[in-house]
Amino acid sequence: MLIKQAREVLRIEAEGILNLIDRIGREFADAVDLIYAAKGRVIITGIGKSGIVGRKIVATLNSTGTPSFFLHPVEAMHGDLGMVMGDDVVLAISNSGETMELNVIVPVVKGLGAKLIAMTGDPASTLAGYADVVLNVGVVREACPLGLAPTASTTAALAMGDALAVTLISRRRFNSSDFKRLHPGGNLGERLSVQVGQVMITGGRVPVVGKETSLSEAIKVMNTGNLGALLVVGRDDLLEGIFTDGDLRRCLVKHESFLGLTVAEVMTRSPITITEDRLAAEALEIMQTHEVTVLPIVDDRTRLKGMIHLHDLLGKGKFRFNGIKAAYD
Amino acid sequence: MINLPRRGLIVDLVTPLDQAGRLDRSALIRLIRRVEGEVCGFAAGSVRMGEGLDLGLEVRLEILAVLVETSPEGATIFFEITGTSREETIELLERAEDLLDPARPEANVFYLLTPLIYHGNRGLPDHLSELGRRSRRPFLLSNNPDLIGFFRAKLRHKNMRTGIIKKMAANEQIVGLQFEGELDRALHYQQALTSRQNFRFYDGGEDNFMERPSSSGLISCGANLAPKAWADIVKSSLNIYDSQRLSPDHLSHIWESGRMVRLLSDVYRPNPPAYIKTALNLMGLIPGAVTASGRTAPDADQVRRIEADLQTLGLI
Repeated sequence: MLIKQAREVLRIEAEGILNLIDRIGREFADAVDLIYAAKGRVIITGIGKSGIVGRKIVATLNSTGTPSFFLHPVEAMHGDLGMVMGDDVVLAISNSGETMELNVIVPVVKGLGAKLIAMTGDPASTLAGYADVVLNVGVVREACPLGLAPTASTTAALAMGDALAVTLISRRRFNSSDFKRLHPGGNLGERLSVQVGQVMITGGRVPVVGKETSLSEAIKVMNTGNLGALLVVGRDDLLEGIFTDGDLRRCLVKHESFLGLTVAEVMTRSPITITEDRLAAEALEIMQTHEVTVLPIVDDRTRLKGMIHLHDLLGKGKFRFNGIKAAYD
Repeated sequence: MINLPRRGLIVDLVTPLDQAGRLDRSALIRLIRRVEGEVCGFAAGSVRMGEGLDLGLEVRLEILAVLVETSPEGATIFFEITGTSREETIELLERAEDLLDPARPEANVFYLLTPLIYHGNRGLPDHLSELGRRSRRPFLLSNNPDLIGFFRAKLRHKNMRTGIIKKMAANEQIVGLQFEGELDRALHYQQALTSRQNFRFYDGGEDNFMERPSSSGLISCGANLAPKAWADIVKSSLNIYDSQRLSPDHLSHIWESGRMVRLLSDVYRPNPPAYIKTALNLMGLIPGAVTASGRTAPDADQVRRIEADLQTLGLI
């Protein structure tokens, strides 16, 4: 009996979600466009179980690059409506579309100029009537006796929220680096949530040479440093350039002999840098964007403070670029 | 644009009759007044509860006239037009059309039809189209295998077939379904109807609604007796109590209401129209418990039992 009942519950909930598939159309695309184009935040509101679903959608949107927060309708009535700005998008969740607390605040939200998306089970409801876009998440049947708790309807709303978040990921070209930047809770995130100054290599461990250093000597220093690069500094430790494995390969192609060459002649000038107060996640983002494996760390006058390697951020063997270029290659 | 019936609790009204078998208008009006604050609509002269097939055509039309005059503005009215034959159904439909203001098709009268009473699955979509040509009003279909079994025991298919439902879904004039039967069939119907954005799927079976409520609502016999308790359960199931639900008192109230209506349904389950009329008579709401011909009235022992149960439930 219990097994049969549990299976029925799952079937009802599954059917509720499956039935949403045919409803994905113009309205859904409009909702995504509205959120994507918004200059403000996505504010999600709902009460009871709809509120709990709303909070989960907030978490999902925030994790995937769409700034969002939850607004409790009762708190909104008592002043929190001040958090809503004209360029925000408000997503209101109510299965019946007749939730009194919501229908009190939505005219005010509209009056402020914010756009309203209604996620409701009744497209003919009062809430839907106020909305710029209506997402119909109606289910035919709930799975809980006496309606003591909404079941299939909240599952459907949750799934529709996920559909919104995931399509926004594609729309925003949200990538793994963005995800890591927004997830400082995991092991990796923990490593990336610190400042660059806390993880950079400093002092004698940084392979550094002067501008006049011969290329042969520079290669020895680079080899000792085992970072695939060395930094070239001038007076007062001012960063002049970087010499990498890639520069060395190019040098081999271009010059028949190293004799007489200085590192200044073959280095990359004005390398990409970062300051020590920035987050390690940002360093990672820069490395990924420019497809480099090391970054010099400088102060606001470009004086060298240290150096950071991709492995310091991610650990060895855990990361590779999709592109074909190596460091400064 | 086709009008939609309201979501929520619809009372499947009994038909109060006098000793001569005529409609007791004042008793009907009293019943309507008693429940109108709790329900969003009325089913009238239904085959299931209103003894529609046992009533004369004139009585059925009189019920419709009383409801249109008496029911609150905006209330949904399901008027059953099912006859014992195709011809009888068409005649009742045409007479109802004459009675209703043809200039106001948007008024909330929907024709309720239990087609398997007189028609097989084959050709049903065409039959509905035929009815649709005679009226611009929307239709609500009723699927009730037990009822079909009662009237047409030898009929092989006592449910409308899913394929037929799918074909009929293309007809925008059909706006909903009153469903009784197995969950599997309900889910199959649901799949067949996915193409329809606005389609009402009411439960006809109270037991099913209490276990796995349809989100359009319930067409309830028991609401004749306990409209408030049923209204609370239906509102809860339709998630209309988003905020009240947070209160533990609300949940215990719904739980108690559920217990009460389950006990109450045990009282009238043997023969709902006759037993509910008896109960309403014992509650002093209708002067007699006369049923249309062919319905077995409870005997003296059964009446005493009903009275005792109603006392236990605090209804008398």
